[in-house]
Amino acid sequence: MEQNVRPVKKIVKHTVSIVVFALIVFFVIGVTYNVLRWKDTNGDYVSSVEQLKATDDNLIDVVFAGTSHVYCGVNPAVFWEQKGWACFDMSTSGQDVKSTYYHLKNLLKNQSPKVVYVDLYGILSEKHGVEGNIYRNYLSMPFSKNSIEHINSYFPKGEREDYYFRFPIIHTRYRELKKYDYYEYKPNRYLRGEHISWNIGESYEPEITEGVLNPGELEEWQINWLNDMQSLAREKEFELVFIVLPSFTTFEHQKVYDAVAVYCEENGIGFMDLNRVRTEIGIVKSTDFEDAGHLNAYGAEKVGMYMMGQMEEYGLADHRGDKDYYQWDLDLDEYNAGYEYSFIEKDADLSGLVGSISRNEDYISVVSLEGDYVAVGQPFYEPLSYLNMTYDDYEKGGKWIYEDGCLTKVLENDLEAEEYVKDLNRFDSLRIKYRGDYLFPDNIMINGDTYYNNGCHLCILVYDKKRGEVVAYRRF
Amino acid sequence: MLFNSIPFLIFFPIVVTLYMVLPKKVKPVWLLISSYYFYMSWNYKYAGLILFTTVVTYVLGIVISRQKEKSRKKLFLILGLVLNFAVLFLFKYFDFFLDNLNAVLGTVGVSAVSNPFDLLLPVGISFYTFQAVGYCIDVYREDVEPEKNFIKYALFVSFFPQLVAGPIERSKNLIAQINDVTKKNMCSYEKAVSGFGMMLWGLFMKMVIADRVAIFVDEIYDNLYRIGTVEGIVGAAGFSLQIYADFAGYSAIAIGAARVMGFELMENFNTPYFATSVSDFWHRWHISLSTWFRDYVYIPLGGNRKGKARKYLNLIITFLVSGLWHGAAWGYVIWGAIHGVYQVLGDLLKPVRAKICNVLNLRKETTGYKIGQILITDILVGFAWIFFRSKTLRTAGYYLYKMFTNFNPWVISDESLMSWGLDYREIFILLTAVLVLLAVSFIRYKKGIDVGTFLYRQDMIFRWAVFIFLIVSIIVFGEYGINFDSNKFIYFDF
Repeated sequence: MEQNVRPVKKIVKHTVSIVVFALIVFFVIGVTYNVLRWKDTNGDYVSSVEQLKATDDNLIDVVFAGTSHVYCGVNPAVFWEQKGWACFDMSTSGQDVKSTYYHLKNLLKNQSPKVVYVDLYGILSEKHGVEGNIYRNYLSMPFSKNSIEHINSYFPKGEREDYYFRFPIIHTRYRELKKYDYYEYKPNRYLRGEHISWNIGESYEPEITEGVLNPGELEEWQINWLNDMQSLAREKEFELVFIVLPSFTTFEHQKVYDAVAVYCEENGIGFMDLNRVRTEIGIVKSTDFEDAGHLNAYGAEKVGMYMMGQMEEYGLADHRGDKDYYQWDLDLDEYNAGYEYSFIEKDADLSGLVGSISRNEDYISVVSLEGDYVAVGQPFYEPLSYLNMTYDDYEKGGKWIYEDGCLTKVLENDLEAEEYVKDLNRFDSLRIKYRGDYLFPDNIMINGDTYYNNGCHLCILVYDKKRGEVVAYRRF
Repeated sequence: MLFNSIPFLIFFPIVVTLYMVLPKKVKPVWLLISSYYFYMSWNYKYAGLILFTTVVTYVLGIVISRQKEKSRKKLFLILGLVLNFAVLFLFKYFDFFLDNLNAVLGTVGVSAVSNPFDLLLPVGISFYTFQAVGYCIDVYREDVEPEKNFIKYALFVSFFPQLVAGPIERSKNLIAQINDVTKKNMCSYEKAVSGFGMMLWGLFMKMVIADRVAIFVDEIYDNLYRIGTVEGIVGAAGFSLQIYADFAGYSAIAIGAARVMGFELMENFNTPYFATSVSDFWHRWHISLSTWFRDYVYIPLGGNRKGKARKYLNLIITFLVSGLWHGAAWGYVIWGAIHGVYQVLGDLLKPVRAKICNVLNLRKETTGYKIGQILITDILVGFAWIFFRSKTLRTAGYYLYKMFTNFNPWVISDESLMSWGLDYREIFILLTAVLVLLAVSFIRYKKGIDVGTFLYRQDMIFRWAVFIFLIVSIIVFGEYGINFDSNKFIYFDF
């Protein structure tokens, strides 16, 4: 009897140890995967898929799905601010039509939007031309039956395994890992899929014959996709609208869009070609684009205002003030903050910059005065006096920290003075020292990056504690 | 189906799980089916070849054992050898033979003979042919009884862990174990843990070390026009490391996979780069092949029993054949010849070496002397690998010409060495992995046990930590997946 007990005990012991070991291995692989997994490293770690994952069920009213034209050209914060509508950009760089379909299906698992606007730029080519966009579209969705079908829809047999298992592709990311591969990038919790750019680039007029449709022949795969989208809309009971966002369009592209317009007409589906109503929207090619193909924040705002008028018919609810929709509030804060960053980084004069940093409690600012600015009559004192700088201090020069309404001198311009250091947060540390006027790059540093006077008398560095990054670095 | 592939990751657990739960009598059948599936995943057509070898050697084994007269036994043995080597010749050497024949015919103005066949080299053909031929010889010598059960014999020839790149098993060892499968439970926790450790270690050697250093070595060989002394030396050292990590890695996976199922395959590598002479190297490198040649070629030729001159001739012949076994190219033949010459010279120069030691007062028992021996051996072996890797004499000659004429020590300090496919990060990973390899080799050298057994004997926490380290290293730092052009395992081509 005892002889039998021992082997049984042994078997149980070995089984338990194998199970525990397997669990530990799965845990370690899971942690490793989380670090290495695909992240939009080309877009400040901002990803629609991440943001969707962080959104509670059944909050989204309107979805804009498609390529980068969507995340650049449609800003949910504009709709939220004006109307309180819960819009979301389910959008990825170069989103191919298959990805639009399956990413939308993924979204529809937990959300029940009333309206879905589907960008048509993806219908112009069946296959990806940029390898990185394949990864963006096919590695970002959480693993599920839907993600497998998504992969199967694009890749032939024999090329799918690497995408199912993901590690064969993502493991080489050990060569590019950065801070936000280990720590969550906070805005991924609340941004609503958009990419806000305040840069202004030049675009071109689309090659459109005004007032006339010039439809080409749609290919089979294009018709199949349009049919699939239509079926999905019917099945999930949402209003489907195909949309062309303002962008540069060739004559050949326009023939495809016009063919879709005809298809929509025949099938009773909504269709909007915003390139055809640019004047009505107020789009200006010299100010409203980030580059030839993408709108910037100014253009996106105009598109938003125009579309609101078109969307009234859906009777969407105003959710402002509803706590469940806090992510849309934070998104709007981020939009407004972005506007201010853009202002203080590029447009503000010294008074405007000082005004901004004195108002914003999230900022820590470093003010550095070096050289003979008093002798040459630089007009810095008056604006700086709003930060409570005394004239005596101003005359002497030195380095100050402005935080929470207080200006504190932390260093004289003295070669003997001991350096000043401050941890701005757990990742970023500031060091200020004086090695001479103007041309010493290590006078002001955050981690390894230098923000010194660089030949100027006055330098102001603005660090946003909330975002954990430098938002302006101005020299006067 | 490569060991370092997703299909194997799925195939192996299924095979093992079913193998463990199936009734004892069915186990050999299951392993045979699995082995053929494994082999056919490369090219299903070549399953016919392995079946042919199996049937021929199975029948001849029985026929040889039934012959009373030695001469008739010999006759059937020769028939077996001819049939098996004919297949090997046709698939592996016929092209090479024709090329050389045409070269000779060309010199006397005769037009070239074209190849009527268009045959791909079946993976692992040299390995299973030698294993099956070894069996026939063993039966002929009456070292083993012929295996009557065809399923078990077929499994002996095709056992998937060692089918495509060895170790080349002896019938005495493997058939006995296959017979045991139907009698007792071969599997145990100890063997499973130890085998799993071996497999992980083999994958680490292959994917983290061999395939990483291969990037550097391939870049060198693809751009010989711009190499100098330093790249030549580092390239040769790199290939020495690559071929060891590749083949020893494969062997470790094979031995580990077999061990998980309760089989104990013969050791194939025993810290070869710690050898103190070339002769010692061959006791440690590809042991299953070198002992095969010793038992079935060198000793039958007379070994060292017929005087010094004959011994040297036998050594040269054995190594020439060994070189040719590795591939149908003159580079392999020269590589074999160099090793033969090393051994002959090593023996001839023994008195000179003793005299030098005497004059310089070198004490053979010191560590310094031993390290010196190891270094000299590694340099000699590394030099020979240049011919092995080059495959053609012309390439090897150019490599050596560049190495000995373009003295460029500045590339060590001006970062030029980083332009050969591996940047600082990759070199750091490689060197760290090599340190791990050195540590494991040292344990093997000192304790005389393989890494699987060593790990099993450690505390569970340590063992698990090592396993997890290996798993994460393989997953993260292994060379695989998209954009990676796998070198397969180098010895698959032999």
